[in-house]
Amino acid sequence: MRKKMLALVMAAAMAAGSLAGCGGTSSGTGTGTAPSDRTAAAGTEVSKQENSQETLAGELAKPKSNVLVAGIAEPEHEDRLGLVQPIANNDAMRGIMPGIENLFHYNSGTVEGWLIDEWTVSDDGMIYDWHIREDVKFHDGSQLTAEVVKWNLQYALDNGVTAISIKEMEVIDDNNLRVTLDEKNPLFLDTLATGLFGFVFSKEAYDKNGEEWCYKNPIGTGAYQFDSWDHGTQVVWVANEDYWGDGPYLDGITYKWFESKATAIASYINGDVQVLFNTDLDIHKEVCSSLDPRNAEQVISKAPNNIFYIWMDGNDPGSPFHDVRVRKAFCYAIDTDAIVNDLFEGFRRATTNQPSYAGSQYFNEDIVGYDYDPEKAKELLQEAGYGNGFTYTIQCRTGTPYDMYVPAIQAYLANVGINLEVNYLEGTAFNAVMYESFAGTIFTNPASFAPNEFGRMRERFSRGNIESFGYKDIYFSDAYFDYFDQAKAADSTAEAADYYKKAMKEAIDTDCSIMVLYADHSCTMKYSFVTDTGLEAAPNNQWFPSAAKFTE
Amino acid sequence: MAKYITSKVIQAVVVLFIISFATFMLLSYMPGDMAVAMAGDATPAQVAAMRAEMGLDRPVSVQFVDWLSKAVRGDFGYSYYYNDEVSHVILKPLERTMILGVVSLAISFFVGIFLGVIAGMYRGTWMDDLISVIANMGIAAPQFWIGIILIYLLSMQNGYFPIEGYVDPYRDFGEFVRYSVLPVITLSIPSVAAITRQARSAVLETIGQDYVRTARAKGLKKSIIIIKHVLKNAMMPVITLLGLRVRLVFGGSVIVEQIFNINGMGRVMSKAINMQDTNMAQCCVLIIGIVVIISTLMVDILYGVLDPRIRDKKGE
Repeated sequence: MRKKMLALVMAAAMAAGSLAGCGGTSSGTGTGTAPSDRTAAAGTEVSKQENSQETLAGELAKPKSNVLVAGIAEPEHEDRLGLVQPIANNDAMRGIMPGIENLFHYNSGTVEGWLIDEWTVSDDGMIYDWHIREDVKFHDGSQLTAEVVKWNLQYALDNGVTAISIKEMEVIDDNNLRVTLDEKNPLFLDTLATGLFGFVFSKEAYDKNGEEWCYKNPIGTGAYQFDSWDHGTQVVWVANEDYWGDGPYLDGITYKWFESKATAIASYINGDVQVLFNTDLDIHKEVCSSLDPRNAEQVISKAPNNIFYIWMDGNDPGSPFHDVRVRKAFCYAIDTDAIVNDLFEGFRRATTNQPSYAGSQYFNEDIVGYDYDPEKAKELLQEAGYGNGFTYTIQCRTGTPYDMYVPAIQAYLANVGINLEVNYLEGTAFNAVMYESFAGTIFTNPASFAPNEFGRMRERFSRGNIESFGYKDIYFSDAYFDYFDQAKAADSTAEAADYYKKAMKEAIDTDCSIMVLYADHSCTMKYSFVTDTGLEAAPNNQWFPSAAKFTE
Repeated sequence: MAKYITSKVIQAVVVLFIISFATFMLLSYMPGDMAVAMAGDATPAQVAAMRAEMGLDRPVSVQFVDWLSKAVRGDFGYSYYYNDEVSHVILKPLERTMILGVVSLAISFFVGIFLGVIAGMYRGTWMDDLISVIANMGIAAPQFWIGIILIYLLSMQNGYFPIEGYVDPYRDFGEFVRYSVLPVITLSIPSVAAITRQARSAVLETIGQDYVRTARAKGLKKSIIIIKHVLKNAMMPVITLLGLRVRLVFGGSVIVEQIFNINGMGRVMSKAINMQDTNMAQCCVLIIGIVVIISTLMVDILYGVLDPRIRDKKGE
């Protein structure tokens, strides 16, 4: 109990930190792996906590009721629960997944059918023939048909979704839909499977009740049906006894958003919350110091959620970073290994020298990158005419992890004579910089894996797209763009991966266009009695809770 | 008194106008806007489309006049973050914050006065020392810390109360009480502490007055002296303080609602400001302004009720 008190007091200190706009730091742990069947295939690790401080031999917790309560220690950003396809962020996704299903599921790089049970692709990769599962009904009793799927995709397209580009859709019959693409896209199904665009809502509910009603009353096909939504705090789902698939095995699922990390920790330690998404080092530390390791199982994704970068304004002729030698010196001056292993204690983060991760088909083994070498950095700065250093500004968001790694970077750069001034910005102000231009400064920000590293880089850093963002201030060579164009036009993901690797070799080793800091993986914490949540299979900290159950 | 109230209402309208203008301008000139805040991974073209849909591409002055002309007719506009009319969205959170706030103020008033009178009456004794120390601690302790400690002691240790959440009183009154105890205590402790200290000082000041000594000499019972002579006269500064606490209770709701995961007005307001949801933020600020103005007005009226000299002066 003393440990619980300590955890809570620490959590209170963290709350103070968060109220003051800065986060706490942490101490670390090691992990042992015990992969489950689906884990290995899915590219995630389930680890039983080995607490470096002290392994607690407490009781194995039991569920308090037959309702699973999941949560996240982050303020909610969901502005709607229904018709989510066009909304820009996917924070609502986990909250609606008990009741709303996707056309496809994504399982560690492999697209699997879900509401679409069979499909074929034409040789030129432009036409997809989908067969829609026949026995599926929405919670309002209406039938899932090809017409409904078409309407959902059209709704996304009509409301500004650009990640999928469809020329036309033809309903063949009730269960067959032909989709013709506008342009070749080897990531079409991946994009549907990992984003909000493939979620399916009841057309009948829309026709009957209108759009605004549907925002607040998500009617899907999932194992749980919508009960209530208290905006910003929780959404409640109850068992759908007429579910077409296996399940439900629980009476309900409640998904909570906690603005206070301390409250989330207390709720988890108390057993009121049994699954906690996107846990960070603070939560990990506090929970593991209070609970038996079996009550703090962790699912860490093998594919990162994000990769953190420093974006340099190489395209600005007035910037020191216009010179590739300065960009390279910058990279050599920073010890990313120490940042990952000492500062973040290796929790959830891993070093990588490119916008990918070891084991991915997009990972280029030939990329050398920039190992920490301050002497070489000084030499390069001398050659570039900056032997006496220079002063520059980095723009970053407030809060963790920026308040941890940016000061470390400042210290590393000071060693080679670069005086880095930090401009901390709140989210909206930072976004404004990102959308306009950051010339005259550098900035640091993560890029997510949606649907994977190629998809993300394609969306932001390829010809035709980069011009629209502040990212246009980054220097990329013609060779890079040419390789990327070829990757975009590839017939298969394997071919796309080859070109992607070449493009990254140009961007990292030749031009040093961007600096890769580290890969940030997701970590979900759960009680061991919670099983079959699909956490192990899902990407980007998602889950597939239709088969979730409590196991003795 | 009617003339006095009328002049106060006119002042209130001017104050509300200034508050709403200042809030609107501050939100408008903050870097970024709601379209950017909600954009997430959207492309700049999508952001521009969102901006046009929200009317954010118009000059700020036009936006303000548009908002003001609707607001005076009771239309607080549409919240693009909540996808609903502001007046619809705000009702439930406002109700929750008001219920918790009113209960907290009532507790603060009665408990604070009770403890203050005890401390004042028994000045220099162990009771006075104990109450004074506790009151000082209550003032010094940060609210989020109080909340966390209460969660540990009363939820995690003993399971008496839930860690977080809220149940509406008309849905299940018993559960409402169970869920509200910790937030109300957290909200009340600083106010109880402040009122206790104020009441103690006021009682000490009053107790030495000639009319109290006379009452004692007349052989009146101690309880009658306290209620009729001491308390009534000691109430003035306490009521002033209570009026000020209304503002602090509303301000404190932001933290309390965050700790106890309650979707109240404090939380809505903080979200609205973060997301630069101007219509919603304006509405929240106006509500707080109105509550503060009404509470100040009520304090003024109560002065008159408690002290006929003031009433007569105002009535002139």
